[in-house]
Amino acid sequence: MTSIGSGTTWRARALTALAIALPLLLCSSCETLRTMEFYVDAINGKEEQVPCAILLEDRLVLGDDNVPLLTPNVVTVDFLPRSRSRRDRGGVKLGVRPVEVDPDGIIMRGVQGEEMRYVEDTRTIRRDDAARQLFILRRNNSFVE
Amino acid sequence: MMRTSRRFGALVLLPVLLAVAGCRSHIRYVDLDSKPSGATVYVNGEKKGVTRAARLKLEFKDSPRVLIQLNKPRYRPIFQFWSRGEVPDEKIFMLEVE
Repeated sequence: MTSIGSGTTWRARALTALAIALPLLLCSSCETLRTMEFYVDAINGKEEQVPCAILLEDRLVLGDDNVPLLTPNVVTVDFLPRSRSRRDRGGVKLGVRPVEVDPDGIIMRGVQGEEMRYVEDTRTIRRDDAARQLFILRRNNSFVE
Repeated sequence: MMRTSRRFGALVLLPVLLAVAGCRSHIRYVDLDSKPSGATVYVNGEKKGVTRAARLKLEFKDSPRVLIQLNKPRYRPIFQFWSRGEVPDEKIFMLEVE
């Protein structure tokens, strides 16, 4: 009789602990740092690719060779846990700045924010947004060739 | 003893089932048009058709929101993020000349 009673108590306690632990585990899994990759591309109204420097939080993203990363390319974005960062609630500002490149892909101008044929574009992305981020650039009407 | 076990079993299963239900795929449909028509529609960066785009399928499987973009040469491109609950039955975008 005693053994049945203690067995039931043990079982009930174990199940209660499991019932509490499971939702907590599910919640905590959402609160860890997540690094996401986004494929960033930029086109104009005619659907032609426009080379752009990629911006994160208004700063140029640099490649391994310490030069600005150009579209189309993949950028890595760290999304900090919600409880510790305001950044995750509002997302991360991703942008593209049109640049002029030579035939070898070397940036000639535009990286400092000079007037270009197309206008710089930004948007706020969240960690669950689609991995492909396409920017369709507006023409800069004040630009004179 | 059996009743206690069942009760606690249900207590364990309920949050799991709720979590699974929250992860299930959601699909919405929208009739998209633009003025003028003939704009290319992109969903999450992928080309999906040209307005008027009837019964455009939007999937919220991996993301709680989708990126809708419209593009027509000589008109200002449009982009909007739509969450699951914000998808209208139909939507007409007014394009502005660039």
